[in-house]
Amino acid sequence: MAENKKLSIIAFSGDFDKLTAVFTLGTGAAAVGYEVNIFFTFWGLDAIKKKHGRSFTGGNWLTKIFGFMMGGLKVTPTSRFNFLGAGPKIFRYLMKKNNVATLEELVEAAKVLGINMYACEMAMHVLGLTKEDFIPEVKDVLGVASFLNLSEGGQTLFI
Amino acid sequence: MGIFNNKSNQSPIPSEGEGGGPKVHVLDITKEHCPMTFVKTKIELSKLNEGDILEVLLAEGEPLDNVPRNAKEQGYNVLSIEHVEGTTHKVTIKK
Repeated sequence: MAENKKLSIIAFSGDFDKLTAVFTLGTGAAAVGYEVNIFFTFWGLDAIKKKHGRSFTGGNWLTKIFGFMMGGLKVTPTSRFNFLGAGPKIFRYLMKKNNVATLEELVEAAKVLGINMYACEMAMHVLGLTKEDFIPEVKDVLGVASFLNLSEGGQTLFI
Repeated sequence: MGIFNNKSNQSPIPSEGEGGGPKVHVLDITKEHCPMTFVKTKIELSKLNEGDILEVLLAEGEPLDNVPRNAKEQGYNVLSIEHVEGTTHKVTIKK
């Protein structure tokens, strides 16, 4: 039955297309009754930043530059056909034109469906990010052991 | 955000059933694709009161196969599945 179903996703990539896969699988699973956990780490943290554009997040000058270069959800590049940032815009256009949910809509759906979102403590430390840099829906800051504990007994994906 | 509060694809005012019975809500997902077909259905059902009815207009294929099955799996009562016109079907679900 539905209450035993669980999907845990490690969102490592900050690519527009891979994040679209993360949120499509996550929202789809949540909508059919799965418990869904998403653990954002490294480039994947871009998806849960409060600021969707580019901003100097980070602790020192080096992480601030990284923060600016990585940016947030709106400026995520595609893993192929990025064309210096034109790629995601073309995909967004094609998705809207074909009534397919855009990445932003999927993230909103994930919030409404109550998907559990977590941030990786170690990656945050490296990039100089704090929990305050993320959207309030991020439930907690975790390490590997806690994530393994959360995902136990369900399916786990690395994207 | 707007997409889940936007009433444009839903009946603006739920109609009262005969004799003050359950309210009937309408959700049109004929133009939606996976996963928004069942995501929107799930969100809409969660907003309903116990006993209310949701009429879901959907396309044949994946939505018609999955929306009624998922609703049943989650404990809702699928009252009927009717063909409306062309590829559009109406699934009536009771919360």
